Amino acid sequence: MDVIIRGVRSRLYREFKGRAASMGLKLGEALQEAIARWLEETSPLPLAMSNQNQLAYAKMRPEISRKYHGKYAAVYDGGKLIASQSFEDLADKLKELEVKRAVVCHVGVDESGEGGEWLWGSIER
Amino acid sequence: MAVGFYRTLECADYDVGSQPERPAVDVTIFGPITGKERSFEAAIDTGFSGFILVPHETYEDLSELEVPASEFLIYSTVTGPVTLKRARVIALTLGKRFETFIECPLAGTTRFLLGRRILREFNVALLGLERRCCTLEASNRRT
Repeated sequence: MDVIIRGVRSRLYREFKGRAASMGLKLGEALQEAIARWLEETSPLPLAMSNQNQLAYAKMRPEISRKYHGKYAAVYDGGKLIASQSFEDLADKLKELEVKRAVVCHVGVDESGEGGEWLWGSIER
Repeated sequence: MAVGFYRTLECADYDVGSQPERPAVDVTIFGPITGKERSFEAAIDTGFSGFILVPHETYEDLSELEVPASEFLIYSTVTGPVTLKRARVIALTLGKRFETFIECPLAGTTRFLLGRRILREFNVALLGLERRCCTLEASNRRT
């Protein structure tokens, strides 16, 4: 989606733009990464983030996004990475490696959209 | 007005242990790495827009491939937003085997529910008077 942001401090913007360019990133890519990191830092997910694979994935995400777009990638054993073209193939590889748990994502693909509602259908008398 | 006909494929009795009775179907989840399977009955919940909601013990058992925490979905509830953790699984329900997700709140209790992201893939009829829910297949016959 396209977004217009008004009122950004010019010095902050110039510095951001310069840093993105020096890292070989398009402005949109750098901004997206900055937003994602900010969301993580202010996230109400301390329970989930106590998981070593989740922590490792969060650190490795920029690299995973750059190298494995469109593929399925898994982070296991607190920082090991494996990628594959299909979910089935990835699961097979993890089985061969005798991995029991991993964090897995379809890189760059939004498969589920946004949340929605949970109108407490599970609550009954 | 065109009238469509549907053929019944499979029916499941309502869960009569609940009052009033509720539509529920059998679900089997397979761990994508180990292939371990767990079966349970899940209530059909059109008020839940997610995938398959499961209690903590079941989630811990089957969440071999969890999605990144940044991709957990946030749901609006009557008491405010709730984040559900999510893991990729293989599911078998209503006669279909498919890749999907189980979900579970980060904290708090829940039960087995089948949400609308699953229900949208099926034709399901709720036969309230008969206390049965059935999957349907469109027939070619039209009037």
